[in-house]
Amino acid sequence: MGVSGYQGDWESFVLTPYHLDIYSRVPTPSSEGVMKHHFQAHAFAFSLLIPAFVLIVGVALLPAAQTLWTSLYKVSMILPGAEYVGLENYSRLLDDGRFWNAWENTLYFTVASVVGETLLGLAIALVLSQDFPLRGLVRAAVLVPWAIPTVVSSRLWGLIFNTDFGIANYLLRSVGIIETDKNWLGEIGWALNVTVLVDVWKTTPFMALLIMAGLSTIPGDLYEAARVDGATMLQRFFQITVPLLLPVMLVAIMLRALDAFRVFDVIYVMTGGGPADSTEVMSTLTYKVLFSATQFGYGSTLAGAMFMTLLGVSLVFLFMLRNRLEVE
Amino acid sequence: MLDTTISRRNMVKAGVGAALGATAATTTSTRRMKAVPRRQEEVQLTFAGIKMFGPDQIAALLSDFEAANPGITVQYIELPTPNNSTEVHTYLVNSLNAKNGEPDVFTQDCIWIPEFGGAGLALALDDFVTDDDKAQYYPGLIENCTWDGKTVAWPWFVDGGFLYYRADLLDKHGIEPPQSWDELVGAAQEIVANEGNPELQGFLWQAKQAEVLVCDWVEFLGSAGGSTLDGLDVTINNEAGNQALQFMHDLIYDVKITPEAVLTYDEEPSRIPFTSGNGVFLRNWSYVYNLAQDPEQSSVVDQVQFQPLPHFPDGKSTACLGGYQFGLNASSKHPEEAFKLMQFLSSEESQKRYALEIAVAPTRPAVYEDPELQEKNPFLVGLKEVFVGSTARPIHPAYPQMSLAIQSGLSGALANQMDVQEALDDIAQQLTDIIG
Repeated sequence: MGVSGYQGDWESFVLTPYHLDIYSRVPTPSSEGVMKHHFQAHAFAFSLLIPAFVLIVGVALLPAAQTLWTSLYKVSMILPGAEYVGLENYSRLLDDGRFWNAWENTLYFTVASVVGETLLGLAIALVLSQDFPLRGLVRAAVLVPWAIPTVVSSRLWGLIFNTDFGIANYLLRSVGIIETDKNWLGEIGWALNVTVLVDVWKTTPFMALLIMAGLSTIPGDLYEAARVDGATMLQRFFQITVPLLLPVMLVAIMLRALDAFRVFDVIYVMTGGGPADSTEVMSTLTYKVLFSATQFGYGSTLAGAMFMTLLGVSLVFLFMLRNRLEVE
Repeated sequence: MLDTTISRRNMVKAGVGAALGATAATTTSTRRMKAVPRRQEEVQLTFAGIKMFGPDQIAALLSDFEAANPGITVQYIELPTPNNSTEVHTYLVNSLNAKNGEPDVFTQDCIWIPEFGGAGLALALDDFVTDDDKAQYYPGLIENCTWDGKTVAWPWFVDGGFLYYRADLLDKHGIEPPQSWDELVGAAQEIVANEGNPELQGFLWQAKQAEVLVCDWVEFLGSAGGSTLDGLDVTINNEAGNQALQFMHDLIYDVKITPEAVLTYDEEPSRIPFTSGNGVFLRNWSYVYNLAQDPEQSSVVDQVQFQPLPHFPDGKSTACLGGYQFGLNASSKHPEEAFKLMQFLSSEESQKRYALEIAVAPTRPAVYEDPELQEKNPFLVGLKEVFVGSTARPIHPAYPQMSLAIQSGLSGALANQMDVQEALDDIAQQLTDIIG
C-alpha cells in the first residue's frame, strides 16, 4: 500500500532531461568579472558538491582508472610480478573469439530485453494511468518482480524452465503447443532467449514506472483540445503522447540499456554461460577470466572494453537527448 | 620459541593483561579462571572452511582444539558448500592475495594446489611435516599435495566419481551390474524399454558447462585409456579422446539413454531424478549415498548400490580425484599454531568423526580399519576400492584457465555446435597456448 500512496507524484523520483540541461540555462560568463561573480555566487553550491565528488572519484573513477591501468600489464596470480605489455592485451582481445562471442551475446541480450520491456512497460503504463477500481493495488502488484532479488527470481525461473520437472514444459504440453519436453536451458538458441525473457519479466515494472511518471507530466488540456478538434484516439496517441513521452523514454531506455549490458546474475545463476558459450556475456566472461583463471591483466582488458562500450552507448544517448531538447 | 622473539610492545601488552587478570582474580573470585596461566600473548587464528552437507562438525572440532591448546583461539569463516567451488576459489584468490594473514588456515579443492603453491600463496609445510607424518596418508594423496617438490597442502578428505545403480531394477530384469560401457548401455536400454515408466532415464551424469563436466570427462577419457595431458604434452585430441567424447555424445543422441537435459545438469539436478526413482544409473560423488537412504529426500531407500564406473575394452575403470585439502596461508602471522590446527583437523580422530557423522571419506588408511566406522558406515569402507584407481585432473598452476577451455570445447561438441574431433583439436590448441 505504501506504493499507492505516491500516486501522481512519480516524477519527483525521476531524472528528466530537464534536470540534465540545467547548466545550459545559466548565462554564459562573458568577462572575468562575471566569471568571478559567478563563482562567488555559486561557491556555496560547489562546496555542497564536494562530498558527492569525493565519493564518485573514490568509488567509481579511481577503480576504473586502476582497471584501465592494470589492463596494460600481463599480470596473473600464477606469474611472478607484473610485466608491462602496453596495448598487447587489447590486440589479443580483437583476435579472441570468446570475447566477440560474449560481445555479440551481450548486444543481443541488451537489444532484445530493452525492446521487450519498453513495449510491455509502455502498454502497462498506459493501462495503469487510466482510472479504475483498485488501481493502487494493481500498481503495487506490478512492482513485485522488480522487488525480488535477481538471484532468487533466476533460481525460480530456472526451476520453471527445468526440462524434467519444470512447469513451463508441463503447461505447454498440456495445451498441446509442444509434444515432448523442451530442453530450454540446454539448447543453443533457446537458452539465451529464456534469460532475456526472465530479464524482461524482472525489469518491465521499472520501465512501466518511469513511463507512468512521464505520462503524468503531459497536461490533460492538450488531450481535451485535441478531442475538441476531433482527433481520434490513435491520433492523440501518436501526436501528443508519443512525442511528449519520448524524452522520458529515452532516459529510461538508456538506464535500462546500460544495466542490461552489464547483466551478470540472471545468466550466472541460470546457465553459467553454457551450453557451448551460447549464453556467455561480457560480465560472466570477465568474471571467469579474472577470478577463475586469475588473469588479472587480461581480465582488466575485458572490463576495460566493456567500460568503453558502455561509455560509447551513454554518449550516443546523451547526444540524442540533447538534440531533442534543442529542437523543443 | 615464540617467547624468545616476543616484541617489546607485546611484552607491555602481556604485562597489562596480567595486571588486569590479577585485578579480575581479586575482584571476582568466583569467576572460573583458565587452568593454565597465560605465559604468552593469546594467538587468534582464522580458519576459512567449506560448509559440508550434513550436520556441522567444524564448530565442535574447533572448540575441542581450543580446549586442547590454551592460548589459541580460532575464528571460523564459513565458506559455501563444495558444489559452489567457483565462489570458494574467488574467496581464496581475493583473501590470499590481500596478504594480510587472514585466513591462517583454509580448505582448498585438489585442483588449486599447484596454483596456490606455485604462486607462493600457500606456505610450504616441509619444515613442519616429517616423512612419518606423510606415511600415515595414502601416498597418491600426499603426491597430490606436492608441487615443485614441496608439500604445499595437507589432506583432509577424498572423493571420487562412481556409478550408482538401482539394484532392485537390475535384479528384476536379471541384469548384472555393468563392467563395460557397452554393458551399461545394453542394461539401461533394456530396463527403460521394459519398465513402462515414461519418466525413466537410463544413465544420468553431468554436462553443464561447469567444472563438473571436466570431472566427468576425466572419467570417460581415463576409461578409454586416454589423458588430457601427458606431462606437458597435450594428448586430449588423440584416438582415446575421440572415443570418449563420441561416446558421451552418443549417450545423448544415438543410444539415447541420457536425456538432452544433461547439458544443464550439475550434481544436484542429476541426483534429483535418480533419487525420485527416475534413473537407472547415475554418475555422482559420494554425498549421494546418504541422501539416497534418507526417506525425506529419496523414494529409492535401500534400492541403491554403487560400484566403480564402467570402462571401454582398452581402458580400465577410473574415478576423478576430488576432495578437499587444508592449506596454510603464506602470510600467516602464526604459522606454527596454524599448522597445529591443520594437523588437528586432519588427525585420525577428526577424520573418524567426519566419516561417522557426515560420511566423507578419510585420507588415512588407518581410519577405514576402525571397527566403529565399519559397523556404522560400511558404505565408506567400500569406497576404498573406488578411490584406489582415481585419476587427477591436469596438474598445472594454470589449471583453472585450462578447465574453462575444456568446458567450453566439450560443451560445444555435446550441444552439437562442433564436430567431436573439431572440438578436441580446438581444446588442444588452447591448452597448448596456455602451457605456452
